[in-house]
Amino acid sequence: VKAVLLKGKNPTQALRDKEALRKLGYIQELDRNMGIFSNFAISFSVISILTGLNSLYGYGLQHGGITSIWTFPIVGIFQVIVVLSLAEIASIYPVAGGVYKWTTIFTNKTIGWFCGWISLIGWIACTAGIDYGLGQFLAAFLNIGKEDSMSILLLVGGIVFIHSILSSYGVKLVRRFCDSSAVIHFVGVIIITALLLTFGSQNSFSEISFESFANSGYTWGALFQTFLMSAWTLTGFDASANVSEESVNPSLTVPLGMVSSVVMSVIFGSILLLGISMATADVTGTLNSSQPAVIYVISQALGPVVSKYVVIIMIIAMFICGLAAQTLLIRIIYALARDNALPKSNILKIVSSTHEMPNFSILFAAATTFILCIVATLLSVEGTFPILPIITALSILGIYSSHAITLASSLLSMARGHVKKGAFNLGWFSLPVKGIALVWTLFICSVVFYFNLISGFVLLVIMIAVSLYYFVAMKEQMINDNITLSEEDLIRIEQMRSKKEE
Amino acid sequence: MERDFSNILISNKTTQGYSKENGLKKTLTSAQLWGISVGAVISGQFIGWNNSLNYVNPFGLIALTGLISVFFVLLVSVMTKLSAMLPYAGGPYAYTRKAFGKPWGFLAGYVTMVEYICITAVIFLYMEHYIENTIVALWPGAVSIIVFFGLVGLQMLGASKASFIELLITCLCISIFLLFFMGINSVDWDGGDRGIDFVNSIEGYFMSIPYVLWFFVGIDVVILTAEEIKKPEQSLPISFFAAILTIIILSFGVIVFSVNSVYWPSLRGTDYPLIFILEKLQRGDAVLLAVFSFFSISSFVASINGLMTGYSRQVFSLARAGYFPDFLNKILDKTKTPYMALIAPSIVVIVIAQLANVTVLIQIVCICAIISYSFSMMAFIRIKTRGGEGFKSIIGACLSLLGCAALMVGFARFQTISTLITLGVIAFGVLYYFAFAKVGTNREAPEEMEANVGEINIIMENL
Repeated sequence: VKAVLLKGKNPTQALRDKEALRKLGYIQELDRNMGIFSNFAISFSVISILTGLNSLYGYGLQHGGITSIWTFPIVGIFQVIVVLSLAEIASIYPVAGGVYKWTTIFTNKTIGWFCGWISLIGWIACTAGIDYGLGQFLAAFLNIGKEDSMSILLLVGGIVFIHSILSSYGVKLVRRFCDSSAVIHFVGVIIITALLLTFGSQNSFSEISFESFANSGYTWGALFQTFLMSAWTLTGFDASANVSEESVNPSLTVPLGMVSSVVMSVIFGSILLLGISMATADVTGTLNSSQPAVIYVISQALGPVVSKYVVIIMIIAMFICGLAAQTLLIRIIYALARDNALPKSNILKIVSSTHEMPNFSILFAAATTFILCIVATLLSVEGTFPILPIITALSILGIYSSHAITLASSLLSMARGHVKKGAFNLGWFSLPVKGIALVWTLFICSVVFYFNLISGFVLLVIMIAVSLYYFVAMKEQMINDNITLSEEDLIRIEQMRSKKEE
Repeated sequence: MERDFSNILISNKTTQGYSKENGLKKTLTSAQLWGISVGAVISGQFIGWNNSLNYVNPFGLIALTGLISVFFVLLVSVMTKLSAMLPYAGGPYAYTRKAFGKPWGFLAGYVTMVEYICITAVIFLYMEHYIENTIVALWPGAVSIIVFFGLVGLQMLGASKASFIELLITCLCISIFLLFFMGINSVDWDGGDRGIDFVNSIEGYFMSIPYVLWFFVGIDVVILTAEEIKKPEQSLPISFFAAILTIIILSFGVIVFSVNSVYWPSLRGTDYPLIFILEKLQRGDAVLLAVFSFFSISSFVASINGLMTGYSRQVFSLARAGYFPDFLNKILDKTKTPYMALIAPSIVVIVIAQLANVTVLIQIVCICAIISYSFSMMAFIRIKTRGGEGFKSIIGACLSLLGCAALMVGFARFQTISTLITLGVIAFGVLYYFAFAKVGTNREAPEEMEANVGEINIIMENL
């Protein structure tokens, strides 16, 4: 592996990457300079344990008690299986667009298009969830109670606005943020956990064991409900796949970036959860407090000053996570618009000349994110259906079902006898691993659907609208738009372009 | 008159070959440079400055810090221009060598080296004392020596890795200031007495200058890394100005918050003012005190690591040019770290720390720094006027030089003993130069090459 990675730096690798992309039917348009660390960093920033776990810890605590943290390693193991099977696909087809492109390649444009839409909804909800979680934390930092949903919405609006401004200043700035985010996450988790274990440890190990769960009065069904926390945290590794066309030697860096980001998140997330749960002394008090659960636990454990300091670290991590997620969302919108797969695609795909960013896509991303937060606020029911779980459940339903569709179509194409291998492959394990991954994603989707009917309902409504749009506008376009360029054509276009540049 | 230049003009190919073998790796980015220069001086916020309250009152201290800040902004603006012109590891030596020739060039490099070694020794002493008082009482000397040589090991991994870690630690330090400010802000005014009547005198101002300089001295470490910067013309000015701005803001923040939150004369007697203040105000918050005092150690680590970069590059450049013995010139193959120039002075640091007195060391550091700055400023003025540029371009350098002169007069009058000791150390350097270093300089070293090219141009013009 090392030898191949080192090779990534020489100029012949650039040519090879270009040629590989041409074989997949695309021209190299983006600047290829991301190494394995940047690739890992972008996924790790979007997964962001400091965001997912901190935002939903209270939800887990409410439904499953402290024992709910055990869902994290369990989900972690299965998500590693999912990421392994998707990484194998990413290694064969390292193109921007991720699941949308893969499904199109495995099956046909229609299924690919639907998969792309479901994934898009998931990503909008994912970004919205991160921004909303950050809004809650900021509110708590500014001493605004968590019941004051109007103020939180205003804060979220501000956050989305700042993110959009930063995104419109170009990829370079965002990448700088993402690279630093990985470091902030590592250092932050270590500092927070060390502080909590040193000064805040209240519980003994037996209190976080399953034994105490049996005596606590929570039901096993409720424990399934808390899968939401862990499953939402461990999404977002698509990020690596979406920057395939900007990575050096992508058929190796992308899969390794995906897998390592999930594995590191599982390890560091477990450490963080251990620290937080050992410091959770008073479950009822935590749930009744007007602050998010994690902030309450930390302020009880570390005192007023140090807890504010820790919360600032968390807020910075969440802010960058939101920025990274929004960037990815913009890329997905752009990838879909480039293929004319969205309404008003011709406007969305315009790239502004000043900072080389698709400004209308940024606007679309910001608007949909914020609208989703407003809708969730309107639909929420105090106590039973809080706002953040509605958004995050929608995100899980979108992203996990898009994974399920991709996995199913990959298995289908394997059954038809199409066997391609990338630099990263699982060999004989490929089939069982993909099978388990498919079953797992379907399982999570049904569990989350069952416990979060509002989100399921929202997804259904959107999908009905999307299907209508398909039959009204897309179907014909897809039949007409069936021109694929041959390799020779692509070479000719590339040559024309380089001549123009000269 | 015909002159033979064949022995001076070295072909381009030879130079490139030489710098490939004896040059340092170009890896540093703006953020890392900022980290190095802020990190190198950040411990000054934790220690030392409060001694100035023995001689002036808080208003005097703030006024003096303002003046010194202006002085440093001027210095930095000139130094960025100098290091963009001559981006070599030698720094002040390279500039002075080009402007005034070998002996002065050596002297400038030598004084800068003494400055860096002595600051590091002071910070090492404070760290040792600090570890003894707050963390482990057992074998504090051994613990700090382990930390110190751990940092030498880190430097061995190459400038890129060392300065990445430096950046991390510097950020941690700055976040610790945040914790300090939050800590003292969350306490309500207790209505207690905050100070006494204390009249400032001219003498008091001059006596407190070294402690105010302590906030800033060492920030120029970044010019010694000029040879290792990826894009020196772009990164150096940005990061240098950002660094001085950071330090100015932090210094004012620390002074204003500190003197306002406690009875300020009580700060006179303490070694670690920030911890002293937190202990007074937040006695109940054990977590805050423990976290703050534990993480405060990162400021010493950051400073020592940053300063190591400084003295190792200075010693290396002087050895590469042939002034210092050849063995100091050795570079590690892979990382391009000048390892002998790192290890040998580090041992000197430990020895000095065991022998010298802190107050005298601080004064020596400041005097050496001012001499080194004067050399750089004079070199700048000389190079610019020789190039025929007008007075406008050297006005900043002239003002800084004026500042240096005023400070030197103050030192000679009020820190006479330290000035004499410094002069003794310099005299030793001069003796060394005439005994050993005068012969055998290496013309291929980039600093020497650059100076020779300048000399040739002048000769050519005169012909």
